[in-house]
Amino acid sequence: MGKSPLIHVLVLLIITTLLAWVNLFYGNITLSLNNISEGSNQIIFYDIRLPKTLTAILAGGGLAISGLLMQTLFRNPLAGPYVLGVSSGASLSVAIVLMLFGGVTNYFVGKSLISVAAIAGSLLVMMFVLMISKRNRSNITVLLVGIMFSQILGAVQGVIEYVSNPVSLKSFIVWGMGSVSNTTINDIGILLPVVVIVFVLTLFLSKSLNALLLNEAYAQNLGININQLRLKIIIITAVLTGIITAFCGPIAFVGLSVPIASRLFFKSTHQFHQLAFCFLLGAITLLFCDTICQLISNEYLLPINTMTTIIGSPVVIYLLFKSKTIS
Amino acid sequence: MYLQLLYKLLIAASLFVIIGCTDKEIKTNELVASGLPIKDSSISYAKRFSMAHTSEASLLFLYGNKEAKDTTSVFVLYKSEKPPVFKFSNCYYIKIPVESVASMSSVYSKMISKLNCEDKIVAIENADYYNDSFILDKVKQGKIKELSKGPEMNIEQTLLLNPGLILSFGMGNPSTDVNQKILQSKIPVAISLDHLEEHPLARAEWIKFVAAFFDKQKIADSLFTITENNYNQLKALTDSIKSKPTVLTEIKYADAWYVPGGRSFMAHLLSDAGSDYLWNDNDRTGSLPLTFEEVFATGGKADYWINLFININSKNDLKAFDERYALFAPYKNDKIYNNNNFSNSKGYSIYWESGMVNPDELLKDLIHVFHPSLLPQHELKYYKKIN
Repeated sequence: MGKSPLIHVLVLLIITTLLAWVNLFYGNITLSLNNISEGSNQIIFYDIRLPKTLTAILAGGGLAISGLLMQTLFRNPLAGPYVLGVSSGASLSVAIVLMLFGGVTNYFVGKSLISVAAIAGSLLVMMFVLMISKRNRSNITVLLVGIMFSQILGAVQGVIEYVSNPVSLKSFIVWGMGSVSNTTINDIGILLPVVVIVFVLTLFLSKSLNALLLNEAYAQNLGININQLRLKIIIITAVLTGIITAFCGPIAFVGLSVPIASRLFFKSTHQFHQLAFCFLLGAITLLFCDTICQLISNEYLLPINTMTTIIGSPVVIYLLFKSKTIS
Repeated sequence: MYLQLLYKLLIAASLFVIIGCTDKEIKTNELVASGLPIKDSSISYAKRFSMAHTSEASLLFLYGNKEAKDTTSVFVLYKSEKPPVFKFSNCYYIKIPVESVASMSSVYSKMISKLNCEDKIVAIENADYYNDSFILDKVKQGKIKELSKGPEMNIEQTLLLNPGLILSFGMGNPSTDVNQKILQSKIPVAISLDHLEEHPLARAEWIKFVAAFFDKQKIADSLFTITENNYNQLKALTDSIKSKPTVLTEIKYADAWYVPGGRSFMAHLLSDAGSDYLWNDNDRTGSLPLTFEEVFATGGKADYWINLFININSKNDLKAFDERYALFAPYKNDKIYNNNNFSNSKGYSIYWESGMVNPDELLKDLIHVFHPSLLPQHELKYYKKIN
């Protein structure tokens, strides 16, 4: 990594730390380092705020990486877990699990089932969209198929919700709203290693991703096994989207827009750099949105998905108009 | 420019016509004040409906969100062959007793059942919400139809059934509360806001509203008087209580934990049961959305935790929703009571069915929970301890 990208990473790290600090200490209950070990403040800090802040960082970063990988794989800047129906695949499989096993189950069994279901659902949709993209290389076709697939899965989900009992329905609706505040320290024990390990593994793929971004034939000439690379990307994307969706529900916008914003802000085309930028920018986006929700919670309790869309979409539109092209 | 002037003149003329027409109609308040019909003074608690009587008919006024300032519909209930003529907007003329009713809430069904008119029910919203064996049997036999299995009402089935009355609930705007096609049909629809009543006895008093359609006013009056007396006698038991336990309610829903407002049905009930409801210092009649940490900061050390969610039957069930619930004092001290003592297979308990109609029974349960020594022999009907 050259000097300039390193500075970018440092700046992003500082912003992430500052936002994490605000997220941890400020809200309708203000905490300080002096009082976090007193009475209920201790629980508010360690059991409520800390898992939420860590989840925002991991989910934001993970979804942004997932989006970047999809955009590289499909060589299409409009690809993302939400747009291509991968989140819908995760949602549908979680809906099926919740409706089959009821809303209230054993805590660990419940979380594991939801995680496995979400990953499997994401994986299936990714495979399907990739299959279509191999048959028809048009970016528009792949996007349209993704959107159509997302609609079909959404409709099936609607039918399941329609016939389900209220307990399962509540669990699913709550999960489906998307939130970073439902995770506990035990959940972080699963989410943190998975996201970190997958992120590190992805960094090792950066050279191959660079080649893939240029041209498939070029990558093959460099001795890269394209089919194997595709499979790795699909698995990584499915695991990241699946595990994050399992714990936080579907989080809109981050997977699509953060990679776009990252490429527009930081001109580097090197995927190693972009992976680092995307992770931190994703973490910053979700931390920022959650902090805003937390700071205004005296007046309104806004779901994080509304904030990610309200804040993020205009930024991306502005950047798109300003740059006109995305590398 | 002339065209714009013409538009403005047309708009002004339309407004003049509209205002002129409205003025010609008899307003509820004017009518009651005029002394022609006699206002029913027996309505003591309910604020969302009123009654008046003339020699020819009984008049039922349904109110919207601004209570008596906002009459959403009027029902002229008559027994003669020809209806008397009144000029109200949103007015229904109904010959009583009605012979068939679509009851779109288990609360109305329970009221109808208390009035011994359950054989008049031809449709309900959804049998999933019911524990009443009479209703469930009739649904199985196909004699009572379910009109709202999903979020939408089955319009064709409703029009086909053509009930003499639809009892439904809404949010105070008839044009959005019920499908327009139902409103446009000649079927009378009573869209009530009984669920927004603040006092437990106010909601129970709606039995008088329901009874009017079946010409069972006297029975309703006596049933309500029994409920009222029981409630007030029970409340008197806690009047001298000095040590009032603090109470936390509900669980969180997504990011928000909705607790009942300080002037809500539940806040009244908890206060009357001799407890100190933790969020009674506000004027909200509905719910108050709070964050998990706000609820924990205020209610983490509460003495009791009640009204969780329909299918929570054990502490493990509660912990499965969110393991942080175990951090609350009532969880650690085994002082959690859920309002799902008797539930059907779908998880719906009799609390929502008959509890709303019998607030005296709810109060008795809660007094027994908070102050067992006051009613030592009482067996819980709606609540159960969560272990």
